[in-house]
Amino acid sequence: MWFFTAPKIVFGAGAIEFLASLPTKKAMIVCDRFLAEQGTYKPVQEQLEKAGASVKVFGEVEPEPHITTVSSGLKIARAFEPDTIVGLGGGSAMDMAKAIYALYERPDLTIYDLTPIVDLNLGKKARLIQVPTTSGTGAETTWATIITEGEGGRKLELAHRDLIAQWAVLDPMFPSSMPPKLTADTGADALAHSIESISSQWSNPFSDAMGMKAVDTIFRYLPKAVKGQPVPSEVREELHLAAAMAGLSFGNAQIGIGHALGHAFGSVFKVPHGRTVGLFLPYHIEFNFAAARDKFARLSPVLGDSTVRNARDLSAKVRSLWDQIGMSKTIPEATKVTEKEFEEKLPELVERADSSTGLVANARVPTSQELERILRAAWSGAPVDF
Amino acid sequence: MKFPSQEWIDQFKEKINTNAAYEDAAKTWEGDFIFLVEADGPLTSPVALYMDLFHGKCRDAKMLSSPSEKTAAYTYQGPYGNWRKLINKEIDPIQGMMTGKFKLKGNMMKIMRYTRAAKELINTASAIPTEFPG
Repeated sequence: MWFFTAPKIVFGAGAIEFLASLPTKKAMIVCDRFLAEQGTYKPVQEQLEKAGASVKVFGEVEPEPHITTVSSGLKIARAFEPDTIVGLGGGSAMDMAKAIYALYERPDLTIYDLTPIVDLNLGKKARLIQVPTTSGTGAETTWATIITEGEGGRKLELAHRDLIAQWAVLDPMFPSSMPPKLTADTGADALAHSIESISSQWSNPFSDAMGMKAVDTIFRYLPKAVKGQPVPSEVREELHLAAAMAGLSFGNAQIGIGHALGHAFGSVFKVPHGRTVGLFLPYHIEFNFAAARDKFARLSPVLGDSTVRNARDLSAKVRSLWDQIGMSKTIPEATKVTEKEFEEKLPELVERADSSTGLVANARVPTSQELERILRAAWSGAPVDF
Repeated sequence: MKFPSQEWIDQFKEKINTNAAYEDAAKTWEGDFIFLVEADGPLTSPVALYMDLFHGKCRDAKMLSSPSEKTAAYTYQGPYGNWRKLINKEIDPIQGMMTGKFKLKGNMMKIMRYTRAAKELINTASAIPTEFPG
């Protein structure tokens, strides 16, 4: 027994206009500081106002959003009493919107209650709408939210099916201005979501279908999106949909050791999420290949029989894509972290990865020693052949 | 070995304490459990199994005379039929909670940081030659 959980999805050019058709009295837009300063929220505000809503913008979301920002947003939500909360942005803003939405609905709970076993029963005060402005995180179609706590930056990996948006609005207008580096990082994140979910112990026919389509689209279009000047609109749209599909894939099957290591590394050394999970994806493939050979083989219609016949060829295929889009393949390429810093932080990296929910459904259960060996491989670029 | 029974939980304790993979996964875990097997099918009354798990080892394990005999930081409970499937590895312990086949009382956030340990516990239980009445 398992579930496939998804929001209703509006997509394509002009999708944002759908918001004008939803009866809305008060809408709160949750976005990051950059989007607030740039006025990126204005087209959303405009459509909500056409629906008759008064609109409040909470534009304080930072990268790796912190639990204290949830409190700030929640305070505004409780005073404003919206019937609609719109997450607008990348993963940070949409994750923040989920947390604010849940705790606005349930003032009797704390953020630590946002786990799959608590009966949340949301949707009594407001609806949640997600509008992604990047093409990678997939947060618009998932029921997980990652919030940082403490000064050390540990990530709370929270999840509950009720955190899924009622609507995901995929309008290619928003990612159209993404710079090449952000396009590469977010596209790498989406590919990692897809391949990790396909190889997950919890993969299922529905998640596989979404993941395979996303893999096909990303290999086909991501280099064009990174190198194109200008990027053709159909390329942006394809990748925008692929990111949402990748979200539907991993949201219903789980991420894996690549994300566990990526979250650990990103939180310790403050490296953007897409860059770290992209970095670890080839190592994810190599570590899990023997345990999930049949699952990786499902990528055969997309990547070809010869590519999926062994770990080395499949990880080489990903590394080749990384070369095309300028993604780093080792830690020294991706960061300015010195070997001394890396060695000093290695026990903490292992501990953080080991406690990540990314390992819940990973095809192969790693020991602490194996996590350390993978991290060392990502430092040196050596293949994971153990 | 019949499940649930004192003999079974003794064997479970012994196997946990010789399982290096569990010890590695749970090396910082502190917290005792009650595994509550709810009456279902051939099991006509609930049975509670207590385990004190600490830093990768099981310090104490016993079948309680009744579910109310002792309290613990965590209670993981489900009907007998689902326990049978869990031990036979037909149900994933985390998916079991997420689909309502098992319920957990206790700090879920902490548990989710030790999912590798949870899986090793199930792997250990599955290695016990177990007889399921009915």
